[in-house]
Amino acid sequence: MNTENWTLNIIESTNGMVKVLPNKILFDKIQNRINLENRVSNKWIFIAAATFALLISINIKLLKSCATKSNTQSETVISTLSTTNLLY
Amino acid sequence: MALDNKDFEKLYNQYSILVYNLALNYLQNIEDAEEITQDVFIQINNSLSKFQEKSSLKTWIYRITINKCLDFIKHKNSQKRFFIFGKKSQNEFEIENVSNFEHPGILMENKEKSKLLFEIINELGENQKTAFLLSKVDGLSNPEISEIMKLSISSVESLVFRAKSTLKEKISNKFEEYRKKINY
Repeated sequence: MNTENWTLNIIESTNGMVKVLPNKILFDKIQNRINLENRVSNKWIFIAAATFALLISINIKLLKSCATKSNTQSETVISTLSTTNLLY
Repeated sequence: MALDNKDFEKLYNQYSILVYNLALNYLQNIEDAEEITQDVFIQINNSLSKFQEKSSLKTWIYRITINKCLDFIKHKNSQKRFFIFGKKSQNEFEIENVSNFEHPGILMENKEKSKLLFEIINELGENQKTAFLLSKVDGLSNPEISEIMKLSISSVESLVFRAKSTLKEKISNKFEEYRKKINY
């Protein structure tokens, strides 16, 4: 056999190839993965919502404590100024 | 929005053979082809609502499958590079070896020859490999391939032609090896 024929034989070796059927359990595997993904996504939605709620409550608490702190500071300054009533 | 079970099963029955065989031709490994088939149908289920019908459903499925296969090969190659510099894989054979694959759909008398053909197909560039597999192995026409690959028909013709020339050249280089093997 010469090189050309041999090469042609190799290239033509996929002629008459038949389609292969996938494993029967593949569909069940796919459905299981889809169900699992849905379950996981719900769980992550809940975690994300909980994290947001926690962040918002921490922010509100911090804002409140800052506001009370600045009020008491300004009151202290005013009270020290008003004791003498002298500006200079 | 995902498909309901009956529609999804119908879609799976219609396209699973196409997806599985294309993945098998690309990856030359049954387990990998099954994994890609799973990934493709999960993506179809998740993003069918986003499908804009700019192309046919079949073309869209072909594109998803090809992209998944290419990503899978890239991932596998990066793993291979990691194993060269890092610790060795326990399953090195699986990562390195694709040439020993015997396609289950190939006629018995062609098994040995097709093994060599697939080994050399793997050495082609991404586009040449895709064009050749779709044209020669999947039997698609050039207009169909051009739609799937989003290229002009003349580009597809050129890709297939160059792929065949490269294959012929590489296969003929192996002829000496084959002759020696036969003489022994």
